Amino acid sequence: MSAQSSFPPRRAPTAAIVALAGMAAFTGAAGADRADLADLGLEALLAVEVTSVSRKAQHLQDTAAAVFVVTNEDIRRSGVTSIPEALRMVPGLQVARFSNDKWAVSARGAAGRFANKLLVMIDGRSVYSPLFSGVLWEAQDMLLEDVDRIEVIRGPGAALWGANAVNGIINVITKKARDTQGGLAQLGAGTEEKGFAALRYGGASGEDTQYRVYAKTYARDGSVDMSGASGGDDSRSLKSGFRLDRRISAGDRLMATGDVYEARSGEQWIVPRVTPPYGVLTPMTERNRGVNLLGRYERSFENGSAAALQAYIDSTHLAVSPIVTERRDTIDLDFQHQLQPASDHAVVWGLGYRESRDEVSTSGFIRLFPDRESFRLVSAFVHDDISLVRERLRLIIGAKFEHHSFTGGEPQPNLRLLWTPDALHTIWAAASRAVRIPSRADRESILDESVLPPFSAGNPSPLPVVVQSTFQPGVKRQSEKLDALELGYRAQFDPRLALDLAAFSNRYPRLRGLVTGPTTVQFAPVPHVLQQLYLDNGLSGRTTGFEAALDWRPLNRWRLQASYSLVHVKFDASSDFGRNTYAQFIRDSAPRSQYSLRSLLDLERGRQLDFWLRHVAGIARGDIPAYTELDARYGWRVSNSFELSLVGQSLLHSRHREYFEDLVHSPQLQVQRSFYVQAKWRF
Amino acid sequence: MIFSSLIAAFSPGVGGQEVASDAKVKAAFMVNFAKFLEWPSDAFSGRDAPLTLCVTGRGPVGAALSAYERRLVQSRELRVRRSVTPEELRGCHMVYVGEFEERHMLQILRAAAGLPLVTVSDIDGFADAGGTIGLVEAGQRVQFEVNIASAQRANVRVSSQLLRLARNTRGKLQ
Repeated sequence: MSAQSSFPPRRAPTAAIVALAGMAAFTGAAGADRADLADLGLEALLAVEVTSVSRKAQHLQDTAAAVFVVTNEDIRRSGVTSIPEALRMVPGLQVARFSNDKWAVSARGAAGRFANKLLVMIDGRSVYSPLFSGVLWEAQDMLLEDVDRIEVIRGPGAALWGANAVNGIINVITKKARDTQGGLAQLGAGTEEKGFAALRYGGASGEDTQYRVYAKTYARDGSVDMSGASGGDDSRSLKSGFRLDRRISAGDRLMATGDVYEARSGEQWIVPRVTPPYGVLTPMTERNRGVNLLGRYERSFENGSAAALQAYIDSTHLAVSPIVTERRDTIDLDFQHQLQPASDHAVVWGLGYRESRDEVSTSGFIRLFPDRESFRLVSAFVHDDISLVRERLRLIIGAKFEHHSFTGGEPQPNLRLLWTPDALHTIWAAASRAVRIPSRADRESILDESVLPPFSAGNPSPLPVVVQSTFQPGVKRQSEKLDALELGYRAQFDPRLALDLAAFSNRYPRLRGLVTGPTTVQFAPVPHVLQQLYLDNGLSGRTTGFEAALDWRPLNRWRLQASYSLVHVKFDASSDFGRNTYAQFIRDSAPRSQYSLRSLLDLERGRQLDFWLRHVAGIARGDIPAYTELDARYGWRVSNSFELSLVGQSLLHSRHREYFEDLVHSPQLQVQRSFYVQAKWRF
Repeated sequence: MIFSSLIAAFSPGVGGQEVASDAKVKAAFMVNFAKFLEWPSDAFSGRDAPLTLCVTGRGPVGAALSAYERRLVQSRELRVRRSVTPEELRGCHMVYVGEFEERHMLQILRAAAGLPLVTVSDIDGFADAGGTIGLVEAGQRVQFEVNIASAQRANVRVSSQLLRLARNTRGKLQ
């Protein structure tokens, strides 16, 4: 094959391209993406570089939901080294780093480390922990080079993805094995990223089977506390995995993926004690180990329908010694069928089955009961996409039905409308209900939140007061519910400019909260007052907000991406002091607004200069002030097989606070200014 | 010479690297492929009959292709028909199946069998599955593969110039 070199033909076509491009630059219009493109001829077309703005926008164009896609290019050029870090650019997501490896990621005002209303999946496998209804991001390290995209859907995706997708879904999708062929080696070192290395090899077996295997490790330096001393949260991780893709026939595909990992990080907990000094700073080590395996079979039929069957097993072990350990095994089966029963109806329906068993052991100030439990979740969903007016108006009706061992049945209906007045604009509206099943910790747990010393603020008595959240025996916990109304507008003004707006109003009629319980005097081990707070579903409130995202390519080599979010949280007043205090905690845990502005500039000879400016409003709880920070990256593609980059993060201040550990008391830690260098080889 | 250096100063990239939206590039490929294909005479109602390019679904390639309406290719005027369903393929000389129409791919290939129709798509593995020309994104560029057997079934002759520039050719029948 003669013309297939990676360099453009250096003769007449080059001059034609330069002339055309020059003309376009003079006219100030949209570069050379005009009808003239066809005049370039085949050879020249093969050398044209394509942009991703319009393609990404097209993918979203037909979705009646608030979707944002973080592409592989966004990940590579932002200098991030982890998934939650990449999520900072997504409007509607609040992402805060409160320790080296620990992140609080939530959507639309439902804040906290264990923000429990977000469903997170990696290639279809849920990484949401049923122990405390959240994600342990420290156990989800990934080879970011092989991540194809992260799709973030804010808002209830219940009809498709089910319970626990209450405030949104984050779907991390890796590249197909055929797009990761050959070898990749990555090596880096820096001030906070002490060192990291990754190795991946992709191969093929015949024309129909491709695979890849990888291994990756990192060591990260800890953050610092308010005095500048080490936070004791150094971390390391080692992970290895594979992916296999096989085309069995024209319409049949098989995919398999799996990983095994071990991650370790330090923490410091202030363990409450009923004797002086009432709280002891205790270094802990958190270890996460796991192995998982997923297989998916997809088949297309000649009548236009398609079906997919997926199964995975996931085994995890969490140990925060010596306080909590959890061993969990999950098996999940999922079936989906897409068909077109009539010309204007596209129907998708599916069945799901999940079984999860755990063994927990707890001691000291955290106690979970029972120590061994398993649950079963059976679900079914159906979803009809109806073309009311062909090419213009679509109505989507869906519902998901679930039965969970803990809470019984929960119907989750969903109604959406999508209007495309022309190829450039889309307006959508949605009304939906979603449900969050209570976690283990929500149900039967006892947690000594803190001890108020005698004669201190909040405790004028001579005895220490132990504040304890606990469950009311005999009272069944209910799942949380959300009724949401959403409205969105999407415009692709031209291939270089896309705008996406979304507004929402979420009503939570029965949120998990705390209500004042009995106050008793206890005598063991020493006399103290026990103030109990009961976990209940008595909190209700509403969050409203607005999100905007803009993607603009003013010049062929310069791309800008901006996002902005606003959220307002309001809880219904209650006569109960405990409930009101807790409501205030939640309300004050989310920043009211935030924005992100990214600039990606291609310089000459393979160099790239990228900036990322972001601002997050203050968080009243924890007295976290608003902050503005800047990340910068200088990349140099030395050749087709070697690339270097220099990244600086949090450049504006030597250190700043973003959040705090909200499950247990811990010293406040700060994110530091940092730098790292990375080299990538392809072979 | 002064003029060309002025142009170079303002031009977007060194070495004349062109950057464009992938939809426009794919539409440009469609038009260029048409120059190197020869349909049987009974595929046209007459010497002045137009060359009809069809697009399924509502993707941006359809909009990009519309810009070429009325252009002359092989002395015939181009016509573009968009949002074409598998039942409406008769009269099309080329059909573009967008990536987001993947679930209709088999249906369209089946409907195309027996028609003098060249199928083009950027769906993964299109040429393997029996499509005539598959567009493949390699790095930041678009390349293409040709399935010769599929062209033969449609009775369409593919110029050797086109085959020479293809990344890959396949002779497999679906």
